Amino acid sequence: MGAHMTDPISDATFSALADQTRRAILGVIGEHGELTVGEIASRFDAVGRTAVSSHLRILRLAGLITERRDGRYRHYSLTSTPADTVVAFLASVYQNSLEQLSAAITEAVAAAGTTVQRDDELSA
Amino acid sequence: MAELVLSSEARLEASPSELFALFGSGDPSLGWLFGSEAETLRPGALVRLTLPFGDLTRSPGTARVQRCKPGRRIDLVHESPWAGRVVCLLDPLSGGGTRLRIHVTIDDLEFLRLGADFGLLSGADVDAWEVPLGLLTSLSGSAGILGRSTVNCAQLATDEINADGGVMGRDVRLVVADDATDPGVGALAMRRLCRVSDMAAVIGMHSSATYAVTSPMAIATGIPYLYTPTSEATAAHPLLIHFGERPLDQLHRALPLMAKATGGTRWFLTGNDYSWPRAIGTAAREVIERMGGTVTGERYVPLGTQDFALVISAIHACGTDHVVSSFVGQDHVRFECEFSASGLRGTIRTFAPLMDDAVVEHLGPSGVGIWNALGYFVAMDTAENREFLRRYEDRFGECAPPVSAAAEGVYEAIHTWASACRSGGGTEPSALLGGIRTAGFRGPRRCGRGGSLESLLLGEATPSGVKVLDELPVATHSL
Repeated sequence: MGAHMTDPISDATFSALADQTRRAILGVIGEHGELTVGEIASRFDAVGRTAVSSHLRILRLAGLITERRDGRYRHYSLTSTPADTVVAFLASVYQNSLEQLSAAITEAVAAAGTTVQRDDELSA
Repeated sequence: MAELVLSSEARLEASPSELFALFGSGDPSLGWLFGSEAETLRPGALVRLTLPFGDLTRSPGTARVQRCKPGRRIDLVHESPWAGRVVCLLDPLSGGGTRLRIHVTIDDLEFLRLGADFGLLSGADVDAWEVPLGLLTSLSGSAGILGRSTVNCAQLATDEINADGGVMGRDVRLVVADDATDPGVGALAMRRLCRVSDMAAVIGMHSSATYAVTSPMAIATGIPYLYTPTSEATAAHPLLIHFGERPLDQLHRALPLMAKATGGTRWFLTGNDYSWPRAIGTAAREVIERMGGTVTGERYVPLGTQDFALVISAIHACGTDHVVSSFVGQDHVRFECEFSASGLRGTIRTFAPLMDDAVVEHLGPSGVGIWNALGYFVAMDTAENREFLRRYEDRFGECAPPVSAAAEGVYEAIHTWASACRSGGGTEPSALLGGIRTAGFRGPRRCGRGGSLESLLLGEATPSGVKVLDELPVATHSL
């Protein structure tokens, strides 16, 4: 018996959105449609340009934003509507909680000495 | 009303009855959902959660049992960090496991509020014929666990005003924002509220740390800010209107009464490390010195502290008769529970300026004997309070979070605001400010014109809520 498999998009979405600064960056991009790194960084006094770039990378890998290159500038825009992103975040909060429960139970069963056929991909 | 429904499911290697038994166990990983912790599963019982929400730290959350069918189904009402209904279904699988399905329903207003607090959505649309009224409070972070009854009381007041014809013929529309018990988040939330077109006023029920950054924003945008909690902050501008208890008002009669009851003279001062707990410390020193007592120690720890062992050993080591404990939200609950577990509750009396009925529900037996003086406790035996509690239960049901002094203060402030707008002849700031001095609302609190408190109640935590010991007049010197 295995656990319900984690949707990898959902996991990345969750980690990306669990951070307040990244959510604020999404909010700023959503407000303006398309922005460059410099334009985004100029709106966050407390966050440096390098940190903004790394947040943008995480958001891009999570599929939340897309990058458009225009000469030496990179422009960022949202890939889905902000409302869909909120739904995805909430869904992943509950789904992740079940994944963690599943992993914890599998561990407890294994620790109790029961023979369990363990799916390797489950260990995360 | 439109709703969002989220469904999750997992197939688990435990029987439905084993899984059912793990719910509410408080185990961080096995106590589903979100490390849930519950004393009982009877309808209305509080369930404490730890959500993977917020930055780096996990946010405390709360839910309440609506009903459950052992081994088969648990229905919860989510209260914080967001409101929703949660149905958990446990179906046996052949082979001994369980299919666990979770259906979460969130209504559209709460979804928009949440999306806006996440920084992703612009927030609720307010119709032109409605009067927008902001509520800035804590629904996540340390103070979030007490936030739902505040939102409920604000909604109740708004509904009552609208049922009565609204304000100047227009319905009031409540717009809620969460400061996450964090001044930085509070500033973003306040900015959003101030940007709502024609925002009539913002009701603030949050820490004075947030107030320090949000009150200048209210002044800059010309929006009246009605601040309701117990606070040391001074209203330094006509747009800032305060309703809450002042530190000296809470302490100057209550501490001598406690000293008289115990026969002790020694006091230890502790709390979270920001301006309000330190102002309580300053006021307590003044009162203690005036009555010839001594302060044996003083210690403040950051908001969000998980372990109070150092504070408790300091209290134990210095020898004291009383503790003044100015903690907030989850910190307050954790500190008092650890203090009680250490065995000190039996020999040291505690005065906690934020202890109210909602805090006492979280503390359970760990809080018994704590004193406080506030403008309101649920046990207040007056016709106005019985009527208020009846309306609250009619509106939110038997499984609603208990009313707290903090929440009831918001109810009164909103009614006082509406009364001020009516006497001032409009909802714009100048009309409100013109009407506030003469505004009156006959609610549970003993208030004079403009919502100023005339007396406080001295309360003691018992296993079934706060018992009222005495009524203390508010001294004019600290008004």
